[in-house]
Amino acid sequence: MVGAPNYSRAPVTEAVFEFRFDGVLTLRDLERLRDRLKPRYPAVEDRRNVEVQVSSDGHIQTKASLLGYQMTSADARHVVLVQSNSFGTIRQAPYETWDELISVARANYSEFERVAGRRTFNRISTRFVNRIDIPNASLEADDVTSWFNAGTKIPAKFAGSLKNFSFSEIFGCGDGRFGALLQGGTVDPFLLNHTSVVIDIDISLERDISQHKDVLWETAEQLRAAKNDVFEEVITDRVRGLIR
Amino acid sequence: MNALVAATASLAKNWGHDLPGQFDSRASLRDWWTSIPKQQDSLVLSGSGSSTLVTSRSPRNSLHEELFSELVKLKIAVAQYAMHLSRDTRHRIFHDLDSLLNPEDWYEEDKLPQMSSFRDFLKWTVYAKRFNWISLGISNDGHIQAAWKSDRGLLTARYTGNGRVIWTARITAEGGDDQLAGDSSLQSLERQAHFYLDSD
Repeated sequence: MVGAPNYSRAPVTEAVFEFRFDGVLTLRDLERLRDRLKPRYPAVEDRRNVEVQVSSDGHIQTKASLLGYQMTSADARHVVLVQSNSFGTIRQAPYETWDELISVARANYSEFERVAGRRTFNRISTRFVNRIDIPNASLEADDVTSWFNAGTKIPAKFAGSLKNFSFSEIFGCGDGRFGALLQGGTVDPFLLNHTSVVIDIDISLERDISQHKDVLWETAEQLRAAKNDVFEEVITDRVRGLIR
Repeated sequence: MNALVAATASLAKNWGHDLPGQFDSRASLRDWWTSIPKQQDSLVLSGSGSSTLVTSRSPRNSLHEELFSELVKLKIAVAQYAMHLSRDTRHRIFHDLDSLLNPEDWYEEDKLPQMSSFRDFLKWTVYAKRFNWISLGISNDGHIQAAWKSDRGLLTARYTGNGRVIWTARITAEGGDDQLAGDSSLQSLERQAHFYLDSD
């Protein structure tokens, strides 16, 4: 299914390629990585974990630790998420091609490897967040769930009054090698007189991960095929009609 | 709940914010937390004894950096509409944003654009398919304002960020120019725009 159709109005709002690894990066490694990536990703935001503890006598303690950095390119198209146990490359809309996403991910990874060295991967994944904007006039005949082959069921008696829905499903794909987390549902409409539905597909490899040097990029291609397969199975021709 | 409010108040105070009043639920506390104008992303209200926050903050040392960070956020908002905008229109909006948030022309007292107002501008632009604005600006309140001109007239709109638009129009009529103003929904503004800008 690698040769999935190219949609002229691709609904992808965010495309992610990410890996997680054993152990954690030191604060110094995080900072060095941030500094190496900063010329290409100048908008830097710290991501911190803050713990608040309240004792029985009302004493309050707060403890903050750096999780990593979210760094965005000047044109806001590319984001890199550097965390102590994961590293992600994100392409914001307009999504162009998989090859472009992976080419940027490769460049980012080479910076990662220079700073952090070879790591043992324990999760490799791709995540595509899609948003379909459906004209409300097209929803008069039936409810929004009928536009997708995944989601919730509602008794026919109430289907006409369905306002919002959300769902989350976990299943196997890619011949059972990968795990899929499929989440979807209505969100605040992005367009006037439309209903916006998000289809968020996260495909991951979490077991039996080979550690040979090209595993990231070979796995990436397989994840891509599985991701395309899930997307095409989830949408109906009515959705295709909107994004083609 | 009281302990959680106290903990949140303590944390918020560290970052320069005072609690506005009482909260009767975790949801209302969370809503306030996420609404305050700062860089924190989310608040996880987990246990009664301890809570965990995942925060995100931009280390901003200068006006230049603050404007740049804001510019990136606005461009990401444009990206959310990428499938409904042509490449030329996206570039045009980016170009206008670069000019609007140019540190060389910015004064400390200028208001940053409100994201809800900017989103309304984008929503309306896609809805009305009017990509030929002659100017884009930011009002003293941080509202996005735009203007369109045609042979028939001139229309200006200020998006207040709540699905409403304050507009003015000037059209050439027999006996002199007519000037009008209104406060409309986004959908209604399209009807006004058609009347004041389009020739039949």
